[in-house]
Amino acid sequence: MPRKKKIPLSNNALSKIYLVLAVVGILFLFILTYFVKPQEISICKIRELQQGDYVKVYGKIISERNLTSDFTILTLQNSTCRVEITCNCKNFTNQNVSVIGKIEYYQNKTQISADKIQQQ
Amino acid sequence: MIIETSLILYVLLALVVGCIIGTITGLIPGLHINMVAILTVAISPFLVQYFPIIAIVSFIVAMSITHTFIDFIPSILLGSPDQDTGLSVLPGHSLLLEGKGHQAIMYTLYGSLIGIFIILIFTPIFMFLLPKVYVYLRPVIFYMLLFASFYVIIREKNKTLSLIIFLLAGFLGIAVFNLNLKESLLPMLTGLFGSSSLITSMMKKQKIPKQIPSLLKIRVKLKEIFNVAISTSIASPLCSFLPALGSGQAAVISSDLTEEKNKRQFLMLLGSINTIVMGLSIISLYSINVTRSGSAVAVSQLLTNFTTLNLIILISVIFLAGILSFFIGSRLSRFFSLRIHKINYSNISLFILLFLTTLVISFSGWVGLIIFITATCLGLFTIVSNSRRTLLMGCLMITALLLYFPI
Repeated sequence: MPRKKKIPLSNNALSKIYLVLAVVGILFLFILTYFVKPQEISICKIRELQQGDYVKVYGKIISERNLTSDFTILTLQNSTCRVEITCNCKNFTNQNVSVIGKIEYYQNKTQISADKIQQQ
Repeated sequence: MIIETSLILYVLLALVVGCIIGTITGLIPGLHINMVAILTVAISPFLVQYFPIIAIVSFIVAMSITHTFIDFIPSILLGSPDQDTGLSVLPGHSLLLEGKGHQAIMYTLYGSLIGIFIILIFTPIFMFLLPKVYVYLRPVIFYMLLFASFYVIIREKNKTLSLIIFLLAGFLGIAVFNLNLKESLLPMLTGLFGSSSLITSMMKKQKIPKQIPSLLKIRVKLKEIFNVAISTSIASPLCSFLPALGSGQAAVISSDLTEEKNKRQFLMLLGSINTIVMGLSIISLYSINVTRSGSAVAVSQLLTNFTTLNLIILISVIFLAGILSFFIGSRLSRFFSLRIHKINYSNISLFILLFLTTLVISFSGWVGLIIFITATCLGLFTIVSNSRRTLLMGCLMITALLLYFPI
């Protein structure tokens, strides 16, 4: 039986395949954003996590320091534990909130760089 | 202003170690300085017991500058660039196929060396002028980014295709940033710029000819140095404090400003910009407290009080690391160029591809792998459709545009 000769894909066909795969991948990633949620954790256990981990924490904002017009440090408290939240936000003092953000270490202190702060 | 001798010794030690680690990160595709910088910050509570903070910061700065010199070696010899060296693949690779891989790397090294001197010239301007100007620039950052985005698209021949690639990259960036993933940039940027190049070179099954690593063949005219210095001086500083604009965009703008364009000059331009953007990102941190590179973020986390003395030390580190890296880079370039034709290029590319995939899975998990595959396909589409890969920076530019959108 004669051997079938491999026909290489043309650049045009390849580009279509890559484009379709890229579009499908992007759509899939958008769908994933609804399902991949950050880990919910108590403020007391936050030190157990690593830098760069995304978390969701709950608590009450007990203090607010506006360092510049777009940089504020909030102190979030839940029961006996506290954590500093860095954000571009204002007027959250005495409010119960949920914070989604990334764990960062600053001068040996754990902070959460907030992506989203919502009132409870 | 007195600096203790012991502090100078610590800084010099940090400089040497930084140059060594920067050489390693520069040579291994996918191993980014940001990872080492983050790791250094993480272990800094331990390190400060033995070393002064400025020495730890000097290590990060020396490593970052060295990385900008050395990362063109794998980019040109292996065709495996990162987001900063992506544009060097085409001119670099064509010179490699002519047996002039060493010369191609040397041009980027000369460019980086020019960049070091431009950093020295720009430092006083950034120190004194930028804080005053930045107040007025901040409200128009959105429009500047919008202009840069339009510019990157309209200079392409096929504008519709360029717009599609730019937007797709943007959508990918938005999805990735909304996934709240650890090290989310790693799979995206590695896929867009690294693995896509590797797959392309594997598919082409190229054989690398014996290289002629003769320095006699390297000709750099004074006019070219002048052209490179002028054009990078205009574009690079903007990219040092504007969000999402990287070396790629600066290269596109600068190459349009350059009078005479050839491969040699373009490679010098890329080397120069890569180093300037990194160096000035440290100066921007001092003058306007803006972090425009992973290294600047690490420095900001370590140096709570960024004094003028600290800045003087860091500028000296940038200068010395630059000079050292030039010699390290030229030696390594010669060493690898002499041997590149002996190795199986496809096998090396496959090995690097597997290494990058392992890196992505270990840092960002299975979601990271999906991002990596998607980004690779988009990168491949851009290469196959003969579009510029600068368009792929839409992944950061569109996200930044949304962030700075004036409400």
